[in-house]
Parts: sequence; C-alpha cells; structure tokens
Amino acid sequence: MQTKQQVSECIYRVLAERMSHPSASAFHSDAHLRDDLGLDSSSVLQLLVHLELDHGLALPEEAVMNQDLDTVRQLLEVLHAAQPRPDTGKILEYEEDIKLHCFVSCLSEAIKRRAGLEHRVLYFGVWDSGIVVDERLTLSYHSPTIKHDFFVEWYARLYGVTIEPWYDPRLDKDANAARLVSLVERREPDQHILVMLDMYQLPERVNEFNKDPFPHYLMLGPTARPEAWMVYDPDYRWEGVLQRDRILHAMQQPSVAGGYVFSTRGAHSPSREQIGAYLEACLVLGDNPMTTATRRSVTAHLAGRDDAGRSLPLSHLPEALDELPILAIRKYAYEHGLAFFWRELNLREDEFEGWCDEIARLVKTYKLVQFQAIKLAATGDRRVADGLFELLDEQDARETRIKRRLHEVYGRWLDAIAPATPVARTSRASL
Amino acid sequence: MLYVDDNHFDRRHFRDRSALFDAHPILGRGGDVRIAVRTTDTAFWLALCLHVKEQGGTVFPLPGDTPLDAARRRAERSGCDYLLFGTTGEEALDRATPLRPSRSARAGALIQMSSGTTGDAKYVERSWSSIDAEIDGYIAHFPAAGATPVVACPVTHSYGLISGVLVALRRGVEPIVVSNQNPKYILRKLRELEAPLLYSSPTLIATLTLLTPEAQPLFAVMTSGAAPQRSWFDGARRKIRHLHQQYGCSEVGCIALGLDVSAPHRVGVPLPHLQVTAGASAAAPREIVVRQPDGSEVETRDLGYFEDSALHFVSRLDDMINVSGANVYPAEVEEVVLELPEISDAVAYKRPHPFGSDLVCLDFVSAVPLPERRVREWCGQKLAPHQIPMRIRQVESIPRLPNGKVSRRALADAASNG
Repeated sequence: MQTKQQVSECIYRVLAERMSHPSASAFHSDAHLRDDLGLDSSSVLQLLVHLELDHGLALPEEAVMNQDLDTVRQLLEVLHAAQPRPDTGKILEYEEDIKLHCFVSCLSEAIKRRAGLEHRVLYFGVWDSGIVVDERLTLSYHSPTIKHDFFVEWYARLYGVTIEPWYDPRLDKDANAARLVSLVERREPDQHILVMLDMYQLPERVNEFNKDPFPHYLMLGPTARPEAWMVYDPDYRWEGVLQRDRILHAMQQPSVAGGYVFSTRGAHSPSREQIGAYLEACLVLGDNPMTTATRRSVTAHLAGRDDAGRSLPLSHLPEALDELPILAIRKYAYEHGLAFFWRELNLREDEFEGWCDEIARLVKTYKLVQFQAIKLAATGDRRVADGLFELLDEQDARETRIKRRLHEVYGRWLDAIAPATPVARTSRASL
Repeated sequence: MLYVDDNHFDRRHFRDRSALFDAHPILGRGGDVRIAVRTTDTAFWLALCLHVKEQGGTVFPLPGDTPLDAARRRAERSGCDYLLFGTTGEEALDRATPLRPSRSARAGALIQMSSGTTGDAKYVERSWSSIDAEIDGYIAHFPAAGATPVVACPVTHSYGLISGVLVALRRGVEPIVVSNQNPKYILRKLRELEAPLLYSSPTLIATLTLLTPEAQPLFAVMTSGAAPQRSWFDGARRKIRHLHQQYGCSEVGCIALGLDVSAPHRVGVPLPHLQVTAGASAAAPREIVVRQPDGSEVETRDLGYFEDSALHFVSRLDDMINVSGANVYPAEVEEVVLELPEISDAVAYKRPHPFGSDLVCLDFVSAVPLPERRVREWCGQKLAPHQIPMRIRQVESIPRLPNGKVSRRALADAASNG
C-alpha cells in the first residue's frame, strides 16, 4: 500500500525515467495531463502500462478514461484508492489528509509510508499545540522561537526515530543552503529531509491565506536533474518538481530558519504504554489554550494596554486575531484522536460522525469569533464584546465536551488493555 | 441488436428512436437531411446513423470530444446545413443549430474526412450504396463465424462504424461497442466472451497486450492504421491468438484484409468488389490506387506493393498524422494555432510514438515567450483532443524550401531520428 505521495512519485518516475517525457519537469499534483504535461491518449496509455507493470499500480476497471483522468491528482486518487488494502473494514471514513500542522504532516507521511505503522496517534499533539502570543497580544502559529522539541521527543519515543536538525542557526544562509544541497543530492532511501520555506516566495504554489511571510515545513528530494528538486508537501497534499534555485531562495529568506532530517529505517509501531503516555501529555483537561489566548487578547484590547503596559488600541484587534483560522484547523486533530480509540474499541460509527460534526462546528465558529472581533474593532460597541465573550464561552464548553468524551474512551481503552499494561491513569486536571 | 459498454439496446429501442427522429422538425425531412452530429452518446449516434442511412439522407459524424468551434467549422465546410451538438442525444436534438454551408450538397451520403493535397483536410462523401457494397465484400472476404465483435475504436470513423458495427449487424450478430477506453475495462469485456474479435487501434492493442499474460492470450484482434513497428508486431503476436489486419481509406472504406498476418506490412488480399493496383515488389512500391464498382478511381496517397497476392503497405505519401487511428491534418492545426495573436508562423508535423501511433508536434515562432499550456488550451477550444499538439517547441524561425513551402516531412524525419 503506497501513500498518495508515493503514487504521485511513481507517476513522476515513469514520466521522467521510463518515458523520458520532455515535459516531466512541469510535473506537479495539479498539473493537467494534456495541457501542462503534453500527454495525449497514447502517452496516457503508455503511462498506465508502466505504472501497472513497474510499480504495481493498476487502474481499476470502473475508471472512465478521459473523464476521470484529467489531472495528475485525479489519476493518483484513482490509483491510490484501487490499491488492495489489508484492512477491509471500511468504518470511520474521514478526511485523513486535512491540513493541520505542516511539521506533523511531514512526520506522519513518513510513518504512513511504512506498512503497518500507526500514524494517526501522532496528531494527538496537534489540537492544543503551541500557540504563540506575543507581547502585543497577537496570536500566531509560528515564531522564530517556536521549537518542535515536543514532537521530536515523542517521535523518538513512539516510533524510535531520531529527528536531527541539519539547519545550524549559527551559520549563515549560504552555508545552510550548501548543507541542504548536499543532503538532497545524497538522500538515502527512507530518509526524509524537512526544510522551512517562506511560501510567499513561491507564488507558483498556493498561498490560500495570502500571508507574507508564510513559513511552512515541507520535504525535498532529488530528481534526475540536479537543477530540479522534488517537493513533497503532505500538509498541502502537493508534490511536484520545482527549480532548486527557487527553493533555495525561499529557504534563505530572513523570515525562515529551520530544517530536520531523519530516517524511518528501523521504525517500529508505538507501544500501548507510549500511546497512553502521549495522550496524557497531549490532552490538557481544564483549559482550552486557544480560547483562553483569544479571550486574553480581546480583554487586553478592550483595556487598551498590552503586556508591557503600552497602548493597545482596539483597532489592532483584527490584526491580533488574523491567524485564528489557521490555528483553528488544528482542532480537526480531535478526529484523529477519537478515530483511533473508536477503531480500537469498535465503537458505534454514528456517534463518531456526531463528534465530527461537533469538531467541525468548533473549527468554523472561530471564523465567527474573528468576524465579531473585526466588528468590535470597527464599532467599539461593548455589546459586541459581550456577544464575543459569550461565543468564546460556547467554544470552551464545546471543546471541553469533546475532550471529556475523548478522555472517557481513553479510559475504556485503558480498561480494555489493563491486564497487559501497567499504564497509570492520571489526569493532569479535573474536569 | 447491440451493446454500448454494459448496456444492451434492442431492435425496439432503435425503432422507437427512429419514430422520434421522424417527428423531429429537421431530421423528419427524410432524404433531404444533411446534418453534422457531435455527441458522446454512442447509442444515439448509431440509431441516428441507421435512420439517416435508411432514409437516404446525409450525415457527418464528429468525434464526441470535438469542441463547438471545431464542430461548427467542419460542419460548415462539409456543406451540412445543421449541426446537432450535445453530450446526450436528447441535448443534441434540442440544440440543432442552423449553419451557412460553404458548398452545395449532394444527397444520400456518409461524410468522412480525408487528406487534401497540402496537408489540409478534405471532406469525402460516401454514398450508402457504396457502403453496402463494402459490407457485402467485407463479409464475403471475412466470414468470421461465431465471433463477437468488440469495437473499441471510434464509431464515428469508417473503420469502427462500417467494419465494426454495420458489418456485425448485417451478419446478425450483436456487436459490443466500447466507449470507455480504459484498458482494464476492455480486458474484462474480452474475458467475458468466448470468441471476441476486438477492433481497435495499434496503440490500444499494444497497451492491452502488455497488460496480458502470455499464458492467457487474447483471442482475435483486428488492427488498422499506420504500419506497425516491428517490435509492436512481435509483441502483439505473442499475446494474440489471431492477429488480423485491415487496410483502408476514408474514400473507399476497407480495401484489403489479412487474416493471421505474418508480417507487419502485410495487409492482406483486397476485398472482392475492388480492383487494386500498387507496386509489383518491395523494391518497387507505387501509390496504391483503388477502382470501385462504379468505375471511380481513388488515389490513396499510400505507397504499397503486392507480394503473394497480398497487399503490403509501406508508408504515407503525404503529411497526414495518424493519432491512435484518428487522422490529423497538419494544415487544420496550423490554421488554428496561427489565430493566436502572439504566433507569427507555425508548422505541425508528426513523430512516432513508441506505442505505434503518431504524436502531433508543433514548432511555432513568437516574439514573446509563450508557455506550452497557453497553446494547448487555445487548441483545446478549437480542435478535437487528438489534434492538439503534444510536443511543442518555440523556435526562431521555420525552415522553408526554396519554393517557400515548409517541409513537414523533413521535420518529421528529423523528429523520428532524434
């Protein structure tokens, strides 16, 4: 079973290596087979033959040629879905690839590529992961001080995989770029090379939040030509060939600094003890940091003073909460958490779907929070602020309900595995 | 009566459709009908074709993926007075667009495209009586008892329509017309049948044989199109129990047919209703010329010779490009490309595809850099997909012969060697 990224890479390799296709360097997940890649019906057939014979990726009989196969993405979805699956139980179908957290998405993709390894648990760390609040009460998903030590540590504990930083902040950008070039050119099988890029510098890629700068982690690999690199961006479900110099340019911006390398060779499945301990570390009961941070920011803006005692005008509030929608998406990680225990305990699917709706409401209501904040800044009306706080209270209650249910199923899971494992059940805070 | 993919259509279905056509304001004109049809609804097209043939009208089928602009241009140039354009047949019936035909019409024909003298397209009218003569000659030459034809090629062209569908209906067998070109789907259809006779293009046959284990060869396959490459032919013969080959042109339909062919260029003995002349040996090939029962002569623009009374096809004499059995006329592609304001000069030519058909190539001249995607998107609005250039190069200038003409052949030769 190959991941979508691996299927996509197979398509690229057939084009570049087997067919020596002249437009292979225009390859990316959203490329149009005919208009971008210059593949006519004969060439598509040739591609399909090599995908089946060289890579074991067979087109299903039900696929309708020409209609279902316009883009690389359509082709890879069809081929990916047609792969034989070890687990025939179709329960708990939910969107696994949603954009949650670029760093974790890369770690998760690497695990997914290893057959039989449980990758979903990794997302336990995402729902409340590091929200940065600066002294101007601005919420952010990224800051130069943010470290991914938490995930680095738990990746080692869960899977036995050591993540090493290759980026050295003491060296200048050119020296770090040279390190990256050497790493990518010598990449080994099962090795994954992460780099932080400023996506604003790559307008050929999407930037749906229209952010400048836009720091983002993705992974890199070589192609047959040294001037072109393969980009694996699991968080955005995008793979494609980009010019090496464009990538290095985006990596050398002052807005970004970071990169890691690891190999999944020898990775193992997480033990139940480690899964339990990881959930304990991730499930913060009694507080919802994102709502708390939002409330604190609104309160400070209403009072007109920041943490350093400087003036903080209400008009600054929209800017302070600008990244709320990006942060809110991380709450979808609760779906991964619930799904893990639902599968383990074989629980009822309809209840799971109800919780997915609740999680979606949690995420979407942050849009409303942001809207009310903009309205408050524009009108200065205290009644809008009251409404905003009520909304935040609702969000708190909603998220607490989700956490409580997650905590309950976790408890049942512990009971179910109890005889074999001496995991101490501790709650860090009472509900 | 026949299948389209997994759907069966019986005689009654065709009778009901015919009654519907009779009641239609344009189609109800019987023998005066002169229409072009573009739909992806294969069953509808076949019903309409049989109806027009019965009534003695004239019809011009266009490939189902032809965009509106291209369909209209071709329909007008061929002298049709209406274009039926739609995805479903019902939609096509509702959207009958009147045209201003650029030439006057003769009645009672199937219109097909052929190659003109300078790489342009020519419109050929075949009378229904000549088609009936072809069907009779074909069956006399190739009885194919007990075989179920599986037609996995366009039934808008004479190969699929006449040799595939109409011949089967005359034999009284139910053909299976495959509109989904997914090779895995076609393989399943073939395995379901005891004695399938697949009509397809070299490209699709190459694909199917590569995906077929040698231990379970395909039963019978008919191929048609440009002379297959040796490697293609040898590969196909290992995986196909009966590999037949036929040869023809738009003006005449099927000209010769070889059963269990032993060499890639050998296209078999001419059909009994035709008189065919060509070169006397491999060393002295000549243009293949066909005399039809009505005495008319057709120059095929193909080079060939006879050996052991079997016709052998050598090569094309003009610049026509054969993409998976569909013809592409370079001048038509160039005309559309030159409508792009940035492009000042262009030439379309062919290069061979490893799966046994041609790739459409384009060299163009432009003062500004023009991405390939822009050229293809433009062509996508004005040409059928198989006509769109796949190998595109922006060049400084296009080399011309002393007489000012461009040599597509020289470009094609360079492309096939490079």
